[in-house]
Amino acid sequence: MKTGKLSLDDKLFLVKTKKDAASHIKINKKVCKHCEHKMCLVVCPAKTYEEKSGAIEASYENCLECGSCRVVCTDGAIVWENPRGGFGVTFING
Amino acid sequence: MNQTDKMEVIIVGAGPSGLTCAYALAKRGIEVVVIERGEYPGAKNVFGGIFFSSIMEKLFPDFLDNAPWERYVGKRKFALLANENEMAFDLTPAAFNVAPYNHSFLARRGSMDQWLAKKAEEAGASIITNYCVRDFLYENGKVVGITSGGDEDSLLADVIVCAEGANSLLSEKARLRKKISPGRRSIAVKENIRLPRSVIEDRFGLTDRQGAAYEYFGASVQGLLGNGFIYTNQDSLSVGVGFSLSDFMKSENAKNPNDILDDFKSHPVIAPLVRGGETTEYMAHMIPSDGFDYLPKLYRDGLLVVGDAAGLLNTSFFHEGVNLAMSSGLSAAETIIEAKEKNDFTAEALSQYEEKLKASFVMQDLKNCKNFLSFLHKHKSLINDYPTLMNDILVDYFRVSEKPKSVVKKEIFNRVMKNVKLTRVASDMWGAWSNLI
Repeated sequence: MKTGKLSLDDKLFLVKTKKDAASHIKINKKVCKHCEHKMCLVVCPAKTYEEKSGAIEASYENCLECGSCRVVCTDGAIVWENPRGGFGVTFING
Repeated sequence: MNQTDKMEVIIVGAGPSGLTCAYALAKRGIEVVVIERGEYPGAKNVFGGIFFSSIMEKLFPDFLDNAPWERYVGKRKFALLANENEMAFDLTPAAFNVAPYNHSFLARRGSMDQWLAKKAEEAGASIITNYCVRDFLYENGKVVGITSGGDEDSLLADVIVCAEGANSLLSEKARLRKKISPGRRSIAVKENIRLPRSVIEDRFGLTDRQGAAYEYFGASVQGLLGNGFIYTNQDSLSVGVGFSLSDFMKSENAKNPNDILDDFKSHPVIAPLVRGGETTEYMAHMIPSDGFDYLPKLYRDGLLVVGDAAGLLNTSFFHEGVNLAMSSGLSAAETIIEAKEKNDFTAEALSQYEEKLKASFVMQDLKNCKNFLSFLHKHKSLINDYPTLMNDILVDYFRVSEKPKSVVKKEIFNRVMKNVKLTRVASDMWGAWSNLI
C-alpha cells in the first residue's frame, strides 16, 4: 500500500488494462510538424504523447480512452479509434 | 453475429441513456440488443459521482432499497478556493436528508450501470459486451446496421440508437455533427481514494448512509473554467478535477490534468480531507459542454442519438447528466415505439424525438443554462479575481487586532475602490444573475 504522493506511473499501474498488439492511435506526423500548440503533449491525463526527435509518438498502452487528445488536435493529425472490443481500460470505480 | 442477422433495434453503448432506452423498448416486447465495447456495462464509463435518480426511481421503485448506490447526497458544499484559503457555502437541508434524498446519490458507474443492465435484461433486452462498433452501415442514405469493421461482422436493424458517450466518434461518422471542437468538451480526471468508513464519516460529519458532495471553484483548477470535487462513497472518496478544453488550450501555463489533480489534492484546504487515503484507481473522461445552441443533429434516417453523445448535459452549477441521459433514452424509446406502429423509421418520423426532448426538462434546462459557460468564458473575474478579493476582504474584516474597526472598514473600502470599478461589478453581478442562475 502506498499512501504518499503517487507518480503518474504509479497511478497508471493501478488501471486495469488489456493491451492490444496494435495501436488504436494513429498520428499523421507530417501534420504535427506544422502544429503550433502541440496540446496533445500537455492534455493527455496519461501523458501518452511524447515528442521524440521532432516527431510526436503515442504510447497507446497507457491510454485512458478519454479522447481529449483528438479534440485538442485541431489540425486533425491524431486519428483516434476505440480499442478493439474487450481491449483497453476497464474501470471499476467510474 | 453474421450479416444476415437483423434486430428491430440496436443500441450502441451500455450507459444510462442506452440501457434506459433498451429497458423501455424491451418492456414493450420490442427486440432490442445493446452493444457495449467494454467487458461489462459501465467498464468504460466514468462520471464525477452524483447519480441523479428521478427517472431511475420512476422506472424502478426498488431503486432506494436495492440499487448499489453508495450514499445519498445529504451535504453539499460550493466553495471558492483561493491559493491558501477557502470561502464556502454549506448546505445540509433536512428536506434532502429524508427519502427520496433529493434524487441525488453518490455511486460508482461500474456497479450502477450493471444494475441497470440487469433490469434491461430482465425486461427482455440482450446485451453484447466486448464488441466495438466502428461504423454504421448505410443503404440509400439510411442507417441500416452497425459493423465492427470486419466484412462479416455486422448486424442490421430497423433503427439504431447511438448512446456511445461523450467521446462520440460515431455521431461524427454519421455526419450528425462536425468534428468535436475543444469548446464543446471538458476533460475530467479523478481518483478513487480508499479510507475507512468511520474516518470518512468522522471527517465529513456524516451518519449512516449520508454522503457529502463538495465542489470547489477557482484555484482548485488553476483558475480554469471548471472545478474540483470530492464525493464520499461508503469507504472511499471520489476526488477529481474537470475543466474546459478550450479554456485549457488558451491558458499560457497549462499543466497536465494529473498535475492539476495532484495540486488540488495537496491544497491546504483539501489535503486534510484526503489524508492517509490509498488511491486505488485513476480515471479520465470527457464531459460534454455542447450547450443548447451547438447540439448535434439528434436524428437522421434510421438513427437517433441520446445521452452524452447528444451533448445532453446541464453545464451549469447543477451538473446534471445521468437524469438527462435517462430521459433522452426514454424519449428515444417512445419515438421508436410510435415509428414502429407506422413502420416508418425515416428522419421525419424520428424527428418526434426532438419534439419530445423539447417538451421535457431536458431541452428546457439546456436552454435555460445555454449562456452559462460562454458568460463565464468572458467574465473569468467572477471565478478568479472576485473570490480572491472577497476572501481578502473577509480576512481583513475578521482579523483580531487593536486597530479600531472603523479604520479597518475604511481600509477595506479604499482597497475595494482601488481594485474594482463599482459599475463593472454591478454589470458583472447583473450578468451573473441573468446568465448563471
